[in-house]
Amino acid sequence: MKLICEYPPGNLRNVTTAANVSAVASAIKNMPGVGRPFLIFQSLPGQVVLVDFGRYPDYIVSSDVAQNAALIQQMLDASPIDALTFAE
Amino acid sequence: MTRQIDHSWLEGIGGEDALIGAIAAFSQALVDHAGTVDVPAPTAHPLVEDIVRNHGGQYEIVNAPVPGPDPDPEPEPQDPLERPLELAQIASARLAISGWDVIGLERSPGMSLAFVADVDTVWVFFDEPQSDTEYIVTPSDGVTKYTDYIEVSKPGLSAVSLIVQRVL
Repeated sequence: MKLICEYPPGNLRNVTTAANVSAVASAIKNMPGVGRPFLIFQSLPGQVVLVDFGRYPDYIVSSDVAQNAALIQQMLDASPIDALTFAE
Repeated sequence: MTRQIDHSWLEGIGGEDALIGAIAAFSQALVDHAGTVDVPAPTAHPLVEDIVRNHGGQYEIVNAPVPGPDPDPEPEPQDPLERPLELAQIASARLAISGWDVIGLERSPGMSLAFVADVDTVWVFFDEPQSDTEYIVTPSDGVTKYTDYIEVSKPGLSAVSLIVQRVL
């Protein structure tokens, strides 16, 4: 899967994650960190150069792993790809 | 027929070497006596006489104690510097990298996220921050350790394999 987030804040990252939702739901507490916005995708067509996290204000890393897993599943079911701008 | 002798009897006659000597001496005394007249017959310990007179000097020791195992040697004091390290693996990962993208990630529990942070530089994140950076990364060349992640930086980086361990 692909995780789009800022780490450290202000530095956009195109992150490759494990395929295991539970593992990622726990790992995002460390990166980008609790309280930080994030978006998850099954795959992406290119390199993301810009992201509008404001379109999906609910997608914030929680300290609750189950809550993170539920958010990830929502994004896998309904991709928030309209928040992304890709490199040309 | 061979005379059977309980091992415990040997103590009363000075051990097996003494018995062998007594048998030989008594046998020779009987031979010497055979050529004499009016000389009292030689005598010996009743056991020796029985072996020589009734068993042709043949005997067998029975119930010999079974030797026990050697006592464990005292362990030699060990130099702490020579003690082999006991290591526990805490994570591992294998990545394929193309340009600015990690295109493949195989991992063990403990590492679930990785990205290209700069040219020829990848960051591989722990699922849980480490308490310190005293962990061991193999291979170690090009590696910088942090509590949150490991940075691997090498010219032409296209693949990374990492094993992370700690000394127990």
